[in-house]
Amino acid sequence: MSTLNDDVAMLRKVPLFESVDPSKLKLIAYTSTQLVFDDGEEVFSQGSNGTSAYLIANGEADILSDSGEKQVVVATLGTNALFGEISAFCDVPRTASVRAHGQLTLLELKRENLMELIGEFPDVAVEVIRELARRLAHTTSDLAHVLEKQNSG
Amino acid sequence: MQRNLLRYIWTHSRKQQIWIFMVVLVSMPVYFQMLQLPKLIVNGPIQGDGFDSPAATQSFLSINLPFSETLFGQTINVFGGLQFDRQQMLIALCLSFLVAVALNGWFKLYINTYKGKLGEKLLRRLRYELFDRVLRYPVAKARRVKPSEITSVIKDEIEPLGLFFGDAFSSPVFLGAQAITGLTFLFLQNTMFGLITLAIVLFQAWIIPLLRRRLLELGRQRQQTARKLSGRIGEYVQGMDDVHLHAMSNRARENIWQMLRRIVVIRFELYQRKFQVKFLNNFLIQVLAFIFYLLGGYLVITGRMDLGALVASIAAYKDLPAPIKGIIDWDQQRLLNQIRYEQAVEDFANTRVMSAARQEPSDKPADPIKDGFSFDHVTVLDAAEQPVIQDISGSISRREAVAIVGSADSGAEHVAELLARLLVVGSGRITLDGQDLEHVPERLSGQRVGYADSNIFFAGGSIRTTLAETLPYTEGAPPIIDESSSTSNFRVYENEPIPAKAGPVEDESFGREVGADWPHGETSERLLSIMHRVDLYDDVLEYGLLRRLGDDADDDIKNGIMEARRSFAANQSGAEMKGAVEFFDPAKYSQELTIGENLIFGTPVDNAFSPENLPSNNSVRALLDEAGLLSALFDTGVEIARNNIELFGDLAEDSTLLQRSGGPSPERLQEMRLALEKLDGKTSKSADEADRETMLRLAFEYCEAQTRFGLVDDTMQTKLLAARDSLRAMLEKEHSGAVAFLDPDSFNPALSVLDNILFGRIDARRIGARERVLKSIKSLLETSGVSDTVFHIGLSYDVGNGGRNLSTNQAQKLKLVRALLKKPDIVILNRALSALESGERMKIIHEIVQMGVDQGTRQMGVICVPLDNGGWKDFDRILFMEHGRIVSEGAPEKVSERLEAMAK
Repeated sequence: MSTLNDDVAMLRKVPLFESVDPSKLKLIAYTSTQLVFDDGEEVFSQGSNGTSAYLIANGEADILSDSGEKQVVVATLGTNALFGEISAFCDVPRTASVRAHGQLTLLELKRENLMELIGEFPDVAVEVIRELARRLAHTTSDLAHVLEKQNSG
Repeated sequence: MQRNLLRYIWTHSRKQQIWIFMVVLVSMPVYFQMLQLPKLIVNGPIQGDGFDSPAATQSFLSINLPFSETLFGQTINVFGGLQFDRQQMLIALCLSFLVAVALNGWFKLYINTYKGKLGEKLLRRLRYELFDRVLRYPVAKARRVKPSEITSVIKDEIEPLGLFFGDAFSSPVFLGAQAITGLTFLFLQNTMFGLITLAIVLFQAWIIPLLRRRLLELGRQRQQTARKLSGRIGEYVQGMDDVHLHAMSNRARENIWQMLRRIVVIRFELYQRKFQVKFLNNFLIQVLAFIFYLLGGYLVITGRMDLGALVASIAAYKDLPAPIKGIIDWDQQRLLNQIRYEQAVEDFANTRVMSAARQEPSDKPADPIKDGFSFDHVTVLDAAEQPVIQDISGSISRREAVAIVGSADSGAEHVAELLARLLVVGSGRITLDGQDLEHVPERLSGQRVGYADSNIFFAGGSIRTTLAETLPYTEGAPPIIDESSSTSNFRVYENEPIPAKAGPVEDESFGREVGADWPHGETSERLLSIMHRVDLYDDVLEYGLLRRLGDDADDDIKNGIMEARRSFAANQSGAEMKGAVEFFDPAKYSQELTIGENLIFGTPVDNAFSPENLPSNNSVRALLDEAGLLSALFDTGVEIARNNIELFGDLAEDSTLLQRSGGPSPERLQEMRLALEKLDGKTSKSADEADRETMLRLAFEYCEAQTRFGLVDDTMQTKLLAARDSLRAMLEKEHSGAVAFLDPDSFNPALSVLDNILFGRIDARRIGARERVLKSIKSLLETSGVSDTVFHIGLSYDVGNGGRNLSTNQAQKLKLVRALLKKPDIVILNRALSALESGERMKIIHEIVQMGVDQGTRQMGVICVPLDNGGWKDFDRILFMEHGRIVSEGAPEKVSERLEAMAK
């Protein structure tokens, strides 16, 4: 059984929380819930509404995308990976399904707790904004790259 | 119902009233002696009248034959009496006085007790009669009245009458006799004074009723307002949801305040009037004394009257005011009570109730229905006189399944209510087996017709009593309440036995207090089959799982549960359940339990071992100290407090995060902070007792799986396990049953059935684990054959006030079970199970319709007003209704076009 300190250590490895103060991370860890899934159990399905982000504490999870009738594994995430954070910050349906690959232990971070934390400690918000902006910049440059390729191709 | 109070009292307690009068009469000579003897004692032995010489004696208890002088011309002495000297006489007379006092006291005791009992008996009768009428109210009326107003009338309003019942006749007769005697004496002494007194009394008799008119009106108003008040309070309590939803609380306050104010205004005026009347009475009667002294004195002074006559008149007058005042008071009581009574019974008496014959009890079960219902030009009007059913004719047999189909305003539901007798026919006739439904005893329809609609009200009690109370009782129930078994001193006062509408509860299948072993035999099997059909079995089974087994549970059940425990544990290795449950193991520290629970490792039976009392439990503390754990646990407590402060210290007190995270409350946090500041590095030894307990409490309540501070290391676990063993050894040596220990091989009566089987904790981290575990346990119970027993335990589940502990689904299903359990000849389903999802509802209705068929013939008729479109082929006949009329009917295959059209 992992302790809060283990969870904090794990959270620190996530880029989104990397620069958040450790004591706040402990609070995040405390308010999160541990969930255990057996091999093949579904965490959530594509298109469903969800408000939680998940952090893999132990094990692996398959990310599946619906393509027609079939589900295709698009990626497999390992320990310390964060997923579902988009739905946790804004109201969009899940963009993919997630299923346990082998036994999987997750840390569930609920939206209301994250939001509350951000409200309570603005410096957490700054860190999160910084990380999200970095990602946006990343995506934008990726997009530019693709468009460039398209135009030239 | 009798509207005159005195007549009502006379009718129902004639003999008792006469008896009480006789007793009062007999007690009078004793009373007289009690007043007379002191005078004799003073005059005779003390002052020495008749004891002129020391040797003089007087006769004591000499008896002369009454009226002998007039009859025989001479005094005939029957008993010469005993000759006593002065001292002996003093003793004899004083002893007689003592006897008279005791006797008089006894009479008073007897009379008052008798009056009290008489009052209570009459009150009981009156209340019973009123309630009897409520039971016979037409359903429409009963739905209209406010329950709290009826309660107020039956319980409170007539209560004061009880005090009046005993005095209703004896006291006016008695006081009247006294007053007339006094007046006669006065007349004999002096005619003029007699006339003056008579004039004043007559004046009183004229003026007082005039003054009282307003008084009576006020009494009436007071009662009405008080009743409205209780009605309104009842409404607010029932509609508390709305009060909060619409922020109506201040309107409610205002409303009730106005009523209370009105009551005070009425009461104040009432007091004013009452005491004004009293004042006038007293004044008038005292004015007599004034006249006597003034006029009499004047006459004596002027020599027109001798002093002796005046003194005698005044002496005669002295006895007059008390009885007259008494009569006036009594009359006031009578009038107020008459009004109280009138007001109370008015609504009851004005309502046309069903005939008593309709609810006549019987000691035999009702005969089965042979044919069924038939209608003859039936029309029903609603409260606004609009027809909801218009001129329908036809018949429904008990050998068929009929669906009455129609939209909400079609009248289909009203037909069902009509057949269930919840509605009354406006014109036309409905018959059941040829007998007018109006005259069919409720016994027959109640036992032979089952009815379920979407109503979810249950009076309360367990599922078991809820089921048992509606079953017809079968035998051994005499129709009259027999008092022979009740306390015998009430029996003497019984006038006529009250006809009871239900016999005493001798049959085990009837009544509120059914034993925990109910039902058994055939009823039990029937119940199980119905519960399975309406899909309520699993719910009750789950309630059973959460309950503890009764103390008297036999070993078969315990063995069955133990078997289930073993198979469950064995199954855990299967892929299905893997890791969902952490088992209790006496040799292992469980992260899922708190430190306190790990130490005790059992269920506290003695409160001293309950979690909140552990820190102050001395024997536990001594044991921990010995193991060197006490200071370690103290330090753990400090560490927990420190962690909590570190985590939550920066959060604002009203932070939702703090509330939602399941962390400590702000008060608790503050308490920890203060304790930490105070301790400031102190050890367990040097700390205050209070702080020590606070820290120990924190430690005992700490659960690693929940809080995850990582404070229970391996050494601590080992030590705690050792302490667990020594605690158990200690308690077992003392043979104290303070803790029911968790033992893998024995049944633990302090645990619920579920915990006994699980013998562990379900891992909260697994979504759906609980459901899976429950499912697996249910099937295990099935295999070990104790499933029905656990179901049976589940029947003790409390349905709650109004049935609030049940979900709407469960309540509607339970209503249905009740309708079916009594083995009805016809069951009426009136938009039943409305809370269920359509598919499930259709499945259950299908089951019920099929249930009525036994070996190819229909045994139970079904009349169904369905909510769903479908399942038609179950029915023999479909009736279509529109706007209160039957527009079409036929077998489902014949009306298939219409059914299809409707489905669209």
